[in-house]
Amino acid sequence: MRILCIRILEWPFVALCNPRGRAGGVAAHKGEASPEGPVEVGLMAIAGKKGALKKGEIRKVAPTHKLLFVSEKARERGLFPGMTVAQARGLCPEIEIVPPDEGLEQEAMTLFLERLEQAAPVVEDGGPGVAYVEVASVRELYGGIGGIVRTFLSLCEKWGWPCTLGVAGGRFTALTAAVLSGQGEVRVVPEGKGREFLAPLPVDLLPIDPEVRRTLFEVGLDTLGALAAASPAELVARYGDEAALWVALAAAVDEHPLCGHKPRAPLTVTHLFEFAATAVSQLLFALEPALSSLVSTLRAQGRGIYTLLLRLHFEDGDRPVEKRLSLAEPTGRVRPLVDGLRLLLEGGDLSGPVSSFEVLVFRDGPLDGQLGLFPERPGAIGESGAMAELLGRLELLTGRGGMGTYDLKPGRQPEDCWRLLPWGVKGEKLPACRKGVKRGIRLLPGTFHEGQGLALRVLPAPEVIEVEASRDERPYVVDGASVVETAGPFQVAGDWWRGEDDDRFYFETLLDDGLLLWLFRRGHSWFLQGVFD
Amino acid sequence: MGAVLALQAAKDEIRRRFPHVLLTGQPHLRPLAPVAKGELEGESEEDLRPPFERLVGWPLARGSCLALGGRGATSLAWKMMARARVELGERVAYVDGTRAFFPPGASAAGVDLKSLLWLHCPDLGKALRAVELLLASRLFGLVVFDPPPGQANDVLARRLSLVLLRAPSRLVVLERPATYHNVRVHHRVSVEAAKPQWIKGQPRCGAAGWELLARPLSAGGKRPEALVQLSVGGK
Repeated sequence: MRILCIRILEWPFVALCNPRGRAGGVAAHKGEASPEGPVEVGLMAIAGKKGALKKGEIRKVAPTHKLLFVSEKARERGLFPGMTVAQARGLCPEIEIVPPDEGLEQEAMTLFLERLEQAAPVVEDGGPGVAYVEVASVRELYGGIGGIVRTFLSLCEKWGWPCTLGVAGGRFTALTAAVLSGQGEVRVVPEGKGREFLAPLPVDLLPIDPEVRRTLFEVGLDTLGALAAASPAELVARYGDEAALWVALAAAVDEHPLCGHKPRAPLTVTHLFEFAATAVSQLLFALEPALSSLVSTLRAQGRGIYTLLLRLHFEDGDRPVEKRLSLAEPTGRVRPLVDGLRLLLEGGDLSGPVSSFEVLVFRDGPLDGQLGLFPERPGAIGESGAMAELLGRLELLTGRGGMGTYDLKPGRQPEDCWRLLPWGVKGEKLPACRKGVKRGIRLLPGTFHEGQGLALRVLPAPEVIEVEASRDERPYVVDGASVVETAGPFQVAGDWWRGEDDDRFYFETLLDDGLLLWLFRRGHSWFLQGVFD
Repeated sequence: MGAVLALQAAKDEIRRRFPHVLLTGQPHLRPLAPVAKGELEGESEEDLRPPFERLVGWPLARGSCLALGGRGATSLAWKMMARARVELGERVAYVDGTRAFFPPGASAAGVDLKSLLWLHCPDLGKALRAVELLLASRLFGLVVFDPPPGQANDVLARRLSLVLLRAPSRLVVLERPATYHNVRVHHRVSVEAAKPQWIKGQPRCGAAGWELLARPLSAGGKRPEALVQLSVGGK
């Protein structure tokens, strides 16, 4: 197998600068010259929130946003990803900073693949700005490798895309060859020489977590050659199943044929009831095999379902009802889909007997790779896949905004001191276990004695409470109960410069029945903010 | 015969050293017998854990359910969340039925907020279902459940018990009156926070010193009762 890797240089900028999308694609299909000229990426950077722009949405770049991508020219001026926009403008006032648009980038990628498919039948999407082309099928057409390379170079030049090319026996080797080539150049790795080509290169080229890479360096596995020569069993025992993939990549082993990019027809299943279904349970009973067939079809291609649409047709000819189910990550299992649809169906009434239904897969995506022969447990698709699946199912229960991880932020009032982020945004890392605590047979270094005070349970919003206060504005009767002891006041000032008079005087108040309350006074009103527990 | 005796002796030794693990049958079930008063006062040589840890059975065995009740239960649950993360290296999830979770306070108690999955489920049925999903996923080593007010669905509660039998996770439930029934609880502890002391200069949410009384409770009230009192001094 011979693979040609085409890598577009400075892809995010090319995708943004070359957005004529469909127009360019249509012109190319007709064999006309591309309407756009060569893309000139100048002093540019991309900063801001990721995600596709919605129709009509204008996303602005704030001075505090961080740079995500930096063009080569900007890099020469000392800019680098991670700087804030304000810092970048300080260093280079004339820089053009634009927000990211994943939708536009995806559109440009589709255009890129569609154009390549005009010249070769099998083209695989290799990620942003990278495509793999099966060489064997077009070798005769273009008169050998040289002809193929010249053809694709001239095509990319015509379309205005700066690129580098690499030819090798596998995807990773071909991509590495392309990465090591300069603009408009090609590097061909002879057949059977992939391992030799990769051997002197650093392991940094592998898609490995930086922490793991550091540990590989520490044990002397600093080149791909050293990694390829290491015992896979030992690496797997130390780093998990993923290590087998690293060894295979370092040894230039890639036996999977390319998977063509051709868009697939939408997957759909229709079911006609012999007797109309009147209950949700009947519907679900029929839905399960329908979903199972869709899932197995996609799983055979290594893909899972992101979004599906259930369309219900009623016996009395009413307008069909549509239910849309979206998951956070693609799933290759039927159960979460059935659970999700159950929640959707139980949430609303069936307005009449259902005579038939259609299930359409709107969006699907690749599942996590399975490196072992058998999954960890039946139906499991690796830990990250299982986590994504779990989060998707939990989100159906809690609704949007009902789940996540907390991040503290500076705030004036207690209820403004945190924000809720989606799980995984801040990155979680499991700490190593301390020694000797697994079964509690040794004295623990940290015990429950190390207190920081009682936990505070807050109310969703402060509630008005009846308080009798002394002349110096200290509570002595709260909601009919006598106050035994009080600490405070602790003053929290409001944003007076905005005209908001929200000065609060907080008290920790112990009642005679043992309740310890967290109260505050605003003006002459008293509010209960929480209870110590 | 000698080999059998040696094996039995080894089993006894292990059982003595690891009192929270059953050797045969179901290793995820903890023995139900609470710690007797005499046992707590005179610590045995093998188990050097502080009395409070012994009382609440910390570190909790996998597959166990601990119910915490009384004033101070939330404080204890937060400390468990912090310790589960640091000492056991486990992911922690908090199913919040009352939306009473106060992130700055939890962070001050040592809870790693970045790795804490927080869920808000005001509906008791959905909350129990969420707990069931979290336990069955095996991705979270400790699930803390602060149930919303309401009567639990018996079927869901029993299902939760079954999941707990199979899942290598730990469940801590903050018991509120009349909310939570029919879940097999392996250990039930009542906590009583009393006599708060204030230390000047503390942050506004810090009732800095507190005493904590804990007693194991049994369902039938027949088991011997122990009482442990700790004086916990804040910084």
